[in-house]
Amino acid sequence: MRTRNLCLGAGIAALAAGPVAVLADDYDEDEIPWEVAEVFFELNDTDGDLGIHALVDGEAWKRLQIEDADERKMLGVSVRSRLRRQGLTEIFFESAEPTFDELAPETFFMRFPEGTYEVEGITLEGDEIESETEITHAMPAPPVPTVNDMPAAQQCDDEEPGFDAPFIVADEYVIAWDEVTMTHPSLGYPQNADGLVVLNYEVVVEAEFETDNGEEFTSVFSVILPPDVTEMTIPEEFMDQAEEFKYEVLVREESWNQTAFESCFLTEDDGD
Amino acid sequence: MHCGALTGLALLLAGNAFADKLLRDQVHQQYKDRSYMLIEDANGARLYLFANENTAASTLSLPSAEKSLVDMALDKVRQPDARARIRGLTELAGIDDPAALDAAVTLLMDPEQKVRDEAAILILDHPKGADIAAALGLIDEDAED
Repeated sequence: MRTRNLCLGAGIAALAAGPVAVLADDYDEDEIPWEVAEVFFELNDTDGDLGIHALVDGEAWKRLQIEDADERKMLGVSVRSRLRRQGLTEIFFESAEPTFDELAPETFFMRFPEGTYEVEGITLEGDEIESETEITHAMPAPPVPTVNDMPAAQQCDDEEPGFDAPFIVADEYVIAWDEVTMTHPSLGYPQNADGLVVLNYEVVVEAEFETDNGEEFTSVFSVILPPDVTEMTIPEEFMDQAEEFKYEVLVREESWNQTAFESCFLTEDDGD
Repeated sequence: MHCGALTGLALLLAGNAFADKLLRDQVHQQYKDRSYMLIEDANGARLYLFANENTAASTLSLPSAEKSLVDMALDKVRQPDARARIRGLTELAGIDDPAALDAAVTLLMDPEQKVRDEAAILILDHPKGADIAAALGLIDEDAED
């Protein structure tokens, strides 16, 4: 593992390279693993875009580097000044997610080949933290959700033709979906393959409304569910806040690749 | 006068007063039964203990918590263990103290590569390190393109 992030000038290099010089890799054998080190893809099946994400968490660190399957550095984070004294523990990023018109899925996957990616870091004491994560192109098929058994809307923009947000009045609101067991039918590799191992599902519901003092507010209900749970009742207190709701059902497979489906529904007819 | 009011007055009067909550908490814990005035500035703090029935008035000079942290970090950079030296340098990162810069320049000749790297980062990061970095030819590979 390379740990040098600075080039010393010739003068200092000459000063340092004395007979007492010790190889920098002397204590590499004591590498510490990250608690979490995941690099994965997210597909928004509704909007048609793909992105690469990463979540890294562990002992306090001052330097982080991610190398791709060809051992080429694709991310370097160096913590500086007062934040270096404190150290970081967790970091999460999302890449840009251009639509398929701008970046075809095939091109996206070629950019990030399958294989073993290395997540390396340096602790505040100079020790190395390192974990490997396997990147695959296996994307889960999109979940097909319903709200109170009503099919999901395909067009949630009321200014676009085909707006079909369902109007639902009920005592309780249940978002449900069939278990996802296959890979995506037309994206990634392999396609339409069974045997997908689901890590978890995630349901996110958003309600936008104005507060009493006239400010716009977005309330978010979010829950992560185990793979054997395929429905979620939205709490009444959350539903009481608004009349228009957007929701997302996301399926995350074992290598953390995830596919999200977004839709919406209304709970009160606006009279149009 | 209540010690809280005195402390507040002292903070108003001290031109270079800076937040040193740890020090104030420590003083309060130790002298909460006395009347005192704590004056803090960039050089540390002075504690004026007022006389009471049992004790005469006195003055104490106290290092600030920030100063104490610098001193502790400087102690670490003198340790024989390379990990401790690296940690000490890390804890001096970005601190506008000439001692931090001196320590980093010294450790540019450390036998451990990792210590030398951290020392170079400290110099590049130091508010007054630019001239030394230029003179020594230190290059920041993390600088923006």
